[in-house]
Amino acid sequence: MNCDHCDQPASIHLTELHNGKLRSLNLCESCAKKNHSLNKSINPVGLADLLSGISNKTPSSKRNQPFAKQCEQCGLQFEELQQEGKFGCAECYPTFQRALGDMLRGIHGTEKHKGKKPVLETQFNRTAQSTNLEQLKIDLDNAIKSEDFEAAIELRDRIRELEAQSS
Amino acid sequence: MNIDDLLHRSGEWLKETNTESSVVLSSRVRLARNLTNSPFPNRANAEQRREVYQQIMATLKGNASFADAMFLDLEMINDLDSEFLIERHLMSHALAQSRVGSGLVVSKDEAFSIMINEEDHLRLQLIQSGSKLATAWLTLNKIDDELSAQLAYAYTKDYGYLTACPTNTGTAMRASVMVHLPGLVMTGRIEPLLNAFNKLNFIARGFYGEGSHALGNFFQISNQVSLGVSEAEIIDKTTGVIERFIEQEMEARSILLSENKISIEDRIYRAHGLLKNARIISSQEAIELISLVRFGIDLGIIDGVDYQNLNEGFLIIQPAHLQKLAKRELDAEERDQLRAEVIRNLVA
Repeated sequence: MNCDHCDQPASIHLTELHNGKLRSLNLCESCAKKNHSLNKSINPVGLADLLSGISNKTPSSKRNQPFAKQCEQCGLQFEELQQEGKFGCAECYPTFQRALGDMLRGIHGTEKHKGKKPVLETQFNRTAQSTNLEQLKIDLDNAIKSEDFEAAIELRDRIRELEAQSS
Repeated sequence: MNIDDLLHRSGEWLKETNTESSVVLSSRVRLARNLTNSPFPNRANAEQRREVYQQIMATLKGNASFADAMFLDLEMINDLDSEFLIERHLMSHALAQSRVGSGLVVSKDEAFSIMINEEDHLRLQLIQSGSKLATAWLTLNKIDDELSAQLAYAYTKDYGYLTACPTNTGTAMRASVMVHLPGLVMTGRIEPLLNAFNKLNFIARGFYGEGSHALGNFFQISNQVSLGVSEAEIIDKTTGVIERFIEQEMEARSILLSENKISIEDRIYRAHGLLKNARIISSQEAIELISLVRFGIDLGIIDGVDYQNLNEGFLIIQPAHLQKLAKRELDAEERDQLRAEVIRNLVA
């Protein structure tokens, strides 16, 4: 079996049960050493999967894309948000992310939370409910970049789930 | 515990009588929270609202901290009880209007209450009498942690707690204080102070009634910004703002006494006389007069009237309270008469 990362022969094989699914990771010694998150994380990562195919690199054209029109979860339209000034559900926040910055800065002078977090807070909460495929792919990209491999796994699984549902 | 049990109690937020609370009557900290698995109340249909209600109620009822609390289904209570609870600051008009799937949980001492399906799925509120934002926050924080271990809150690390209205996003905390500022109002110094703190993102509005005139010289001061600051910072800043108000109010009071004592005394004694003798009194007039007598006690002009009685007066003179006391519906005239009678007994 070859290393998932570099295709050299693998000497380290990890298998993990996560959310009822089996996940495996095969690494050679040098890649295992380089993957520092392996030491702290109990969720091994199928790096090959993450680096190929599923991740959707954000093209520069995306930055010029129009704001999202509607929340897939609750159906709130962007116009409604502008008129009423109220969100419809938790998913509205990532959906209308581009408009959110200005809105929050206008009200609070900033757009970054500095307070406490809930006891149950995990990336899983947000990802598991999300139906916004584009956003999930952006998040996956960011998660890989910042080496948050736990989050990357959740995102990858959710993306697969949604893509399986739609096909 | 049921709603009628509350009738003859003063309510947590009016209990204290030490001198500091002469300016600050009560402190309140409120947190807004939503669940991840359902649209916000304004977007949810009746079934979804009821599901959220069931989920939250089940969690609360299973929690030992709420063993002695009162659990209310807003679809089951009548209009009078609804008004009564609003008058006691345990819930808002918005909750009363949104009935379907709406609920209210009140702790035995009325210090803590949770609104279910108002603007957000949960609105947690803790009230303490006097200037006690820091201790109120300590207690509320623990309750919030307990609940967040059992309910999945809508939260992202970038935006914090996700609320229906972006004005609440982030910490979703509102810290507010009810203050009595007759000195500042009577010396004409209130406007510049309110404007100054407005620029610092603190909002101050009359506690009773609308518009610029604060009935009874009671104001509510609260923070406006909930994002980009920590909860502790909000508490600290708000406490700091309150301390400025207290300083300014005390200074204004000593100015009044030194420059205008006889005029203030006259107003206060007249107010006392009216409260002791009137047979018909509207709630606006009652609040103005009670405010003056309260001021009189603070200035050492009036004695023999109990602060606690006055506090109870603020509650009992309100329309729903009076009707519960009379155990029947009263028209405006009857209320004005009963109000006068109740007040005469309180200030006797």
